[in-house]
Amino acid sequence: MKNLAHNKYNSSSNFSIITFLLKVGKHFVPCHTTRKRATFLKHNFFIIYALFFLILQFSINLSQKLIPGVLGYSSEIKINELYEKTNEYRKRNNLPPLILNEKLSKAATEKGKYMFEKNFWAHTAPDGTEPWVFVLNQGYDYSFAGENLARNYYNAGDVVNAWIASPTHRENLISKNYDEVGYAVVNGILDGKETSIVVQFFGRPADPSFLTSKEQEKELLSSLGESTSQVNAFGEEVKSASIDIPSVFRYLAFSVLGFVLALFLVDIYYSKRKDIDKFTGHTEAHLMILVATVVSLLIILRNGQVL
Amino acid sequence: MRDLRHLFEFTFIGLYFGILIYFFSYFTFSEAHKFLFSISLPLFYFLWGVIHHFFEDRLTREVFFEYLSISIFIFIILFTASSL
Repeated sequence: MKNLAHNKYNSSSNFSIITFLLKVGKHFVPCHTTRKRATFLKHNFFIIYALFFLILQFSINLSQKLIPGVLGYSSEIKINELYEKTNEYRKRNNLPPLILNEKLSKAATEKGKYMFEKNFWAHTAPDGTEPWVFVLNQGYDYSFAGENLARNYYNAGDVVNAWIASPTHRENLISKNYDEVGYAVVNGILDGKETSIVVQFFGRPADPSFLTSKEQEKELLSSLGESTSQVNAFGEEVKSASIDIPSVFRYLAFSVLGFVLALFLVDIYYSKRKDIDKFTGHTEAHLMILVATVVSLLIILRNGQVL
Repeated sequence: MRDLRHLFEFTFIGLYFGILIYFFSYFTFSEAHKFLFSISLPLFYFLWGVIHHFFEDRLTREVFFEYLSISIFIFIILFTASSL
């Protein structure tokens, strides 16, 4: 009797799970009686998905104002690594390594701070200030000078690879006209958005006797250590944002788009199998716009820009 | 004949998406271009859907709102990504 009761309990439990799954499953497949789409593909659900992203954007904007430094572009760019990777690339091109110069690094920091102060993303400021002004202001008299810029990259490898991929930036990296280099990673608000800018200055001193000695370079490198040496628009050392907004958004957007894409694929398969002629739009066309959106998002959210 | 028209219409929309995305990929640095792209992709899709179903004699209230809601969803997702 005890065994029978036990079996009865088991079978009713299985039955309720199957009933539950069938009930839930109905919302994922088209209905052959009403000839309509799955519940999660109905137009009111698309408005819910859209509202979710609107609320997400509102929350991001609000949290950036209330708790700055938590949400933003998180970067792990280390100046040591930028320097090493630049010289690795020069070595691969049979060129002598560049020497890390303190004045060029200070000039790079000043240029980065100025970009946030005047809110611009360009080599020359809107007021006409050229990059070389920052180099000369540090007392670095040059015979040749160059500048590479990058923004919103996650690590040093990505920055240097992006410069290598761009012909004009690569030209600077492997130029025989430069002996020294300086770097700065500056974080701040550009166009109302948390941004991380990398400034790279190249130079050859007008007087060769002013070249940084190996000892001076060693001292500078050891002072940098393993820290990211990132500064804010006021020149204070800062840590990058703890939560990387593009990564969070990418994860959420692709999850929702993947879910909707999967439901449309199920819709096509199930409708053909059950021979359901729905009174709806073209599922193939919906799939096309969703794929176009995924590609567009990959372009919009791709890492950083160089200039 | 209907299949041929479908093929033409789907090729047209596919080509439009492809060309739009190709040109957009060169102007991602511009906030104005991002906004324009976020609008033009779903707007074209909505108009395409409505016109296509109108000529097919299958334009119902349901179909209209289906294209409208998907277009709004696409616009919001692209607009949010552009404003990050």
